Amino acid sequence: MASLAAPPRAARKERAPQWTRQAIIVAVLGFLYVPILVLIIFSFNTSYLSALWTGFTFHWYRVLLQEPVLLHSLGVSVEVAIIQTIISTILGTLGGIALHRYNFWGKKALVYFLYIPIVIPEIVMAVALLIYFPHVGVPLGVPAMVIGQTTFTIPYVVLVVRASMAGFDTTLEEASRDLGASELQTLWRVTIPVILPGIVVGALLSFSQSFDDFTTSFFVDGSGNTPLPVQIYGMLRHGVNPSVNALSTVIVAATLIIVLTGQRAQRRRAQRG
Amino acid sequence: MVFFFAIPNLYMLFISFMQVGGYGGVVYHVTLSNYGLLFHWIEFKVIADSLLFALLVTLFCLGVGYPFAYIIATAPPRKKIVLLFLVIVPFWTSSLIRTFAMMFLIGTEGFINSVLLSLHLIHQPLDMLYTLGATYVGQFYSMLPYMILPLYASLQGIMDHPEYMEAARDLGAGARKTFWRVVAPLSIPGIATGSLLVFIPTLGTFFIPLLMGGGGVVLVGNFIENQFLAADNWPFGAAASALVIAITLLLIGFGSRYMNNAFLEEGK
Repeated sequence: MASLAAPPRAARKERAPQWTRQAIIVAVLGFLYVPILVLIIFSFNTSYLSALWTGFTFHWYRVLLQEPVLLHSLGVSVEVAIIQTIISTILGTLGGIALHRYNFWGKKALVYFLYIPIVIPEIVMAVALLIYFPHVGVPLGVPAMVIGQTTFTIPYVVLVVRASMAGFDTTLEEASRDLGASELQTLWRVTIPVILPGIVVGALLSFSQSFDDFTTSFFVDGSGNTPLPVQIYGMLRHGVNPSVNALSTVIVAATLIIVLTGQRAQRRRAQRG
Repeated sequence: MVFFFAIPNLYMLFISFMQVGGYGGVVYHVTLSNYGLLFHWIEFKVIADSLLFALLVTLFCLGVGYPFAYIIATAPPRKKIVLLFLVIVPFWTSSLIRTFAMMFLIGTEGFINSVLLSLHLIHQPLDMLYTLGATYVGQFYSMLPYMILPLYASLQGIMDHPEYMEAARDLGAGARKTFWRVVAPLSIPGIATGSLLVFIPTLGTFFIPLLMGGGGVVLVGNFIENQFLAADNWPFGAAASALVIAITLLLIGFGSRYMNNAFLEEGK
């Protein structure tokens, strides 16, 4: 193919006029970001009612800290997210490794099956759980939210871990076994450290999915355990108020940190792969 | 190891069967009347409206997302990383908060109205929020990154193999023809994945129509929620829910032939 010894040609760019490209970039990014930026800017606005700039303040953040209801909701959300992330990361990691390592009957169907909870409309799953939980004695509230969310976070972890196993050099495991390590030692000392970036990405994904989860929690949170997104929803239904802006800004900032961490972990993964 | 893996998944399998079991358990006798009721005019209209809504949102996302994904895929490396990052951030941001941001922007006392009023361009606030149009905008806003990312993954895969496009050029195809005859067909997996990732959640959406449609917009998600939490007719809600599942599975089954599974497995 390369018999003509032509220098490797770089991908020729489709020559859409440069200004069209710029215009599309500006339009799409503007559409994605202007609402969020406006929201953030106005969380520092002094006026309660108007969406016109009247002056800079941290007042709404202070209001936030004095809301026991919100702080309670934050606590519920964090609690659920942490428990949920631990469970789904452990089970998902083991699942991902198993799925990569073993071949068994129905494996293909199982992988296909994993996608279903990810894509199925969450509300369908949520009402199914609402019907189902009382039958098996799972109390509505934190346990129900944890179990409900793991149904769609475990598949994410499994898929991400399985993908990082794909770039894994299995001779490392063989070497470890040859040196006398047990199966468990090999898993813990060799396999897991190597695929750790993938596990971290899976865990972060799982955490943020849980922390942001509205639909499942909305149906199964029971009473007295309102997590943050459901609380925010309630506030939105009663009209906009600037402390919701402040709260949203905090959550967006947290999301940004999670994404940056995830990106870094992924880059490390890419370097190793 | 297989057991660790099998247990949560069997659990999931179990749950998925319980949907039907729970439904039967509530009624205490088997009946098809709930499904029959779905075909009554109002319910049928809700379902038809939802399908139309999901279809249009998917098409909008595709129309806007495709050129943008294409631009990212063909951008110089440094710029590509920045653009990609800027799409991933909203992808990870809570859609409830993004919906709120949109409400704040277009509400009666929102940012746009305030600016226009203070500039005396309008004298009455525009009624943008709490309309069907607002629901479309909100859903589109929420789903756009879900379209762009798989499209990008697919287009990037094509750009990694410039020989296809070079072959087309060497055979005398112009840029336009190369795109339509080579790049576009090769990107079908991305189109299928993105469309499913937008269509299916949109079909089941419920808080966006509630918050942005202001009660005037009732889609099947709202209908299900209403049957479960307000009307207390669980079997009816479950029947609607089962219908949504059936549509979903049908689409996945159909779409998986074209889908690009690699996207999800890359973990974004």
